[in-house]
Amino acid sequence: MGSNIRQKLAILADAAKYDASCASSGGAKRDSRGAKGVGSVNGSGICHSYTPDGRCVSLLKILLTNYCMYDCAFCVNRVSSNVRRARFTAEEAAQLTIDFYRRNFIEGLFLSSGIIRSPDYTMEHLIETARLLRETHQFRGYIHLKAIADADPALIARAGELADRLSVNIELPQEASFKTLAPEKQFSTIRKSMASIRGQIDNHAAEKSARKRRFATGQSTQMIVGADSTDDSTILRTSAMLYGGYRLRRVYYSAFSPIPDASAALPPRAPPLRREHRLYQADWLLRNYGFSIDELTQATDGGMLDLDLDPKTSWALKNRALFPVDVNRAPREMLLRVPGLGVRAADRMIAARRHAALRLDDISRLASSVKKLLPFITALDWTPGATLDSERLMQKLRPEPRQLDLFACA
Amino acid sequence: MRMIALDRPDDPERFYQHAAALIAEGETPERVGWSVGAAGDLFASAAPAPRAPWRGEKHFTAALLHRAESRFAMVYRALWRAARDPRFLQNPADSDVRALKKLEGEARRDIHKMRAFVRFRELGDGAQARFLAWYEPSHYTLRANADFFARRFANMRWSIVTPELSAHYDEGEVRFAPGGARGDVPADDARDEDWRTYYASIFNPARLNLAAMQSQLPKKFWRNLPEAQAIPALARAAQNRAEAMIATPPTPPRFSLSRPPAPQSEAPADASDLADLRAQLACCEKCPLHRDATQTVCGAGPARAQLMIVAEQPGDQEDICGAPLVGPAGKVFDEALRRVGCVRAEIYVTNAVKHFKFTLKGKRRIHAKPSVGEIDACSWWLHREIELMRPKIIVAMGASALRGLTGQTLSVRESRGGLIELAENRRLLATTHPAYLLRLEDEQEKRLAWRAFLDDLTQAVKLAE
Repeated sequence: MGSNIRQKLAILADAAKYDASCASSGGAKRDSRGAKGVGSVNGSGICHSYTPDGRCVSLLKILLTNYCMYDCAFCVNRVSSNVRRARFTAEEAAQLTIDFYRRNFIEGLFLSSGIIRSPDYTMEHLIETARLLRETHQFRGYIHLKAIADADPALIARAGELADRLSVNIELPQEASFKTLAPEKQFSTIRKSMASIRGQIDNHAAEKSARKRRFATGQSTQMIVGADSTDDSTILRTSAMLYGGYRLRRVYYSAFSPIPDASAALPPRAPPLRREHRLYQADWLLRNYGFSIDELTQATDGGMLDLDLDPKTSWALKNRALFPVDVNRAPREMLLRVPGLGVRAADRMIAARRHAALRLDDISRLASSVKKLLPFITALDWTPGATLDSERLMQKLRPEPRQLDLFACA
Repeated sequence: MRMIALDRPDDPERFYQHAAALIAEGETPERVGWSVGAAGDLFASAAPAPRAPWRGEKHFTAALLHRAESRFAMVYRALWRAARDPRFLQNPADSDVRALKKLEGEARRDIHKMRAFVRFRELGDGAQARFLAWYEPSHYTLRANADFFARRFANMRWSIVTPELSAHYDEGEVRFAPGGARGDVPADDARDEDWRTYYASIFNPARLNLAAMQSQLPKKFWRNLPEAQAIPALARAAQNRAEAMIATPPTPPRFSLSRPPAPQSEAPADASDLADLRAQLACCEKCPLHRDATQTVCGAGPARAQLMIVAEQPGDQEDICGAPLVGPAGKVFDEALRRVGCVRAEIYVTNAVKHFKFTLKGKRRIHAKPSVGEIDACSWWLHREIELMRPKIIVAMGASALRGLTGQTLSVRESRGGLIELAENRRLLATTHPAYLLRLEDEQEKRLAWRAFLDDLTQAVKLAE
């Protein structure tokens, strides 16, 4: 591989790193036995490395090109930025994927692109790279393609036949922000693209023959946090709408990060990374813990999640009348509302209590930390007494100030 | 004490055969000792250890791959207990179950990490290429993992060498051989530098978080990962790089921007035909429903159609694909049309309200009834459609359609089947909404409602002729 390719790789990976998604999970299972190429997908993803920012490296995540005709203020690749530009040919990107894959560096490819000439032209090049991988190289690994919002639905359909996952990035959480930060894009167009992808995924899943069923199994999106003034409850409400309407597998939140040659339209400082973390936690409650969007809004303080307390604890402190929860009797959905109790621990408790009534001792073996649960539960040998009503409970649950400093650089 | 010597440390099948025989012989866990290889000889009886086929589920096989010497005794103890009363297996608070789950978890993690961190180095090229990897697992996991690599790299010749065992794959077969040394595998690969370039470029220095990285990628793995040698320098430089990005003022673009025109969202001022109407409708903000819906769902059908059907509002599927009456109620409607001999492509189908109204319930959007205010706001569009179409007969399906067309709140039960005269000599026939037919559970009631619905449609088709 020439140094030319290496230079392009440096530019086009650097340009892709602000996309938080790296998941390689949820693809249809397959492998390369009986085929000519390499690759397999076994359902759950694999992180092949971790960068010093703690993020997983699962896929070769690159742009095909970082030239772009749009001028979205938050984006390092906007037309008005002075970053170095490069462009891979479809062959180069496909060969690089195969070379990395054969060494077990990656699970597959996550390919996106700046918009050059037109959305259709750009989409065609993404598709061509995936086609080379699937047809010429007989690649059976994971492919995630970015669906360009304004591209012809027929092109999106073709992309879906080649990829395991499609994504359209909504980037901004509400319509009003588009006008100032992404003037050439529209909230409604992005929403329509997501609807079209969901429609195609549903139609393929309903097909009887396995060949016709072959299609991307999911879509995801990303929202940038802190580039505009949208509050957390509005962000979460948009997420809930996207999950409900378009069956997204994931909404990724990306705390707006300082970028080289930033636009003057942006705040110079990044929002605390902990805000992104709290949004992920709240999103998790929405998807896996049966919380409604109204309950999450209730957990916020004037629309913003508490940076020092996780959203479930915030919610519990505002709904103390529902606690303590009896771990020996409470239904699963109520156990899941206990701060500090996760899905696995709750399920283990439900299994264990069929054998014997649970004591604190049992709980300490089933949950990762019993201390956090204490104010919110009763067990055979435990009631929290007055702690739950105590005015000081909130202070007690907050981390020590010293710990805050530790987190500050995280 | 019965000493059982196993040939290999990673052979759950054989272990289960011994366990089956020992349980049948009534050997209590306290009386059985386990060892691997020759170490057991000292105590072993001359006779080979007994074996029997294992019937039933094989619990804790992953725990048997753990390096802990006590693993065989622990699993045998659990199997012995299970033979008497297997219920404890379902109790996560049981101390044997907990201890074994812990071993299993660690062995599984080891399997997963091997899949992640094996790095093949290419030797030779073209058809002769071989891919070799040196790897140091924490447990006896290579044999269990070989199938994963065989499926994934079915058309490569590869070897994974570990200190205790090596796996060699060629032409669909995995062969196992004794372990080797780091020196048996090339230290470098032609793509290492590209991989390090990628690794360094995908890292965001503004988010340095070494603790998070090390919880997933502990230092013990670093020495066999080509990218790991870049970590210290990347971490050192990160703070400065991030500060520099913030401190550097934005530079003006090197060229003057000729912006592509913003997408057209201006609607034509006047709707002289249905196409104009659709374009106008797409930007409608007459009521708040546009905020959460994906798109306006316009009427569909030929402009010359004499029969116009008005339903309530788009549902989840209509909102997704942008066409009216295609969801479950649409299927019922199509079936009814088929029975009265009417062709959908020849009629015009629209809704009283053009945006989907819903409430979120978990991950589902549940249809919500449009309010009178929303129906009335949207009736402006409905009447524009009628003016442009001039159909002979309009069918209102359900109460919302009746409201949109008449401006009055009328009962469907009382109005259905009868003709209502609208302004400009237009005639309206009221009937039930097909979703109503879907909801009915009583068979008798359902039959009657279907009959009435078909009668109404038949009448409408006649009036349209």
